[in-house]
Amino acid sequence: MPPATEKKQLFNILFGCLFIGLLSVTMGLGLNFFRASPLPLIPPFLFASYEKIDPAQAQQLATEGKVLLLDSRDHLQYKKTHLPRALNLPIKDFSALYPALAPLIPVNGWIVIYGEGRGRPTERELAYLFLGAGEKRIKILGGGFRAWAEKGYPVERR
Amino acid sequence: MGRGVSALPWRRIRLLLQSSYLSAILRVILGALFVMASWDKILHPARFAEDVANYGILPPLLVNLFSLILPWAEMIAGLFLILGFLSRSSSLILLVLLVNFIVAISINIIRGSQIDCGCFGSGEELGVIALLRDLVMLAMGVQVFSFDRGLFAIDSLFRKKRGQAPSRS
Repeated sequence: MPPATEKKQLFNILFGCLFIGLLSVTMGLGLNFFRASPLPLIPPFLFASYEKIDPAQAQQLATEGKVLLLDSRDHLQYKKTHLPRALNLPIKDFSALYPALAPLIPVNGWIVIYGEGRGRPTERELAYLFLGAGEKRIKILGGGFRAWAEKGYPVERR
Repeated sequence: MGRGVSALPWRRIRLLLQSSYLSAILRVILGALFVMASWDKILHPARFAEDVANYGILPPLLVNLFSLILPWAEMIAGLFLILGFLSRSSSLILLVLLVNFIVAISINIIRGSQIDCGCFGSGEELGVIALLRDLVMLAMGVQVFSFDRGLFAIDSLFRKKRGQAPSRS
């Protein structure tokens, strides 16, 4: 086959890909626009800003008893290992468990939320839910569980 | 393979693997698999977005856009494959998707994360089976992309109209 035809064929294939891609974008975004409850194109938790706290400060707060530690990872990860005295609050359980949390927050204290520190930023999603519920005493543990464990702070294992 | 050593007729097997009749069959199977896979994701984008986020690979900024567009790419490319319309483009798109799926699944298997596969929409847990399934589908896609000559396909109608030969190689 002469190279000119081959080039044309390649062009045709890529043009077809572009066509399918554009059609998918149109259908996906278009249909979402007309849904009763559309999925936000950009997750809203990305727009909020959160106070951060590093592991040393968190440890300090914990020894003073001025902190409620929340593990935003899923139940299996939490069961394997977690920060000492941390409670598990996966995102999907937030609305069910939020009312029970209020008495656990120490007076003049903070809620410190942590995630795995890689992959899905569950800690920010959970913090966003707290902010939405009107709870402002929120801090996020910088680096998540991995940074905490790598710096040699204590963890609870099963 | 040394000649005479093996009893298997390698030449015939190779011819079978390169046959355009096999391509026609695989084209329909692969297309149908992707249409099936996309259906639930199109109906429940929020749930699919959860699964995508749990993979922890895409930046959060892109998760929702991806979750809205990807199922339609699967659906459209799958339908086109079944009909034999833009077969090579469709199979190329599905090949690229499959490579991405395989990478994403492998990373999460190595991480040891216990998440939903999100492959066919059901609550199937991610595991080696999903990886093997995608590898098989990848092989099917490569066969279709390389050897499909448009048997029982809409593509061949267009080609005949323009008076081109149906063969590609």
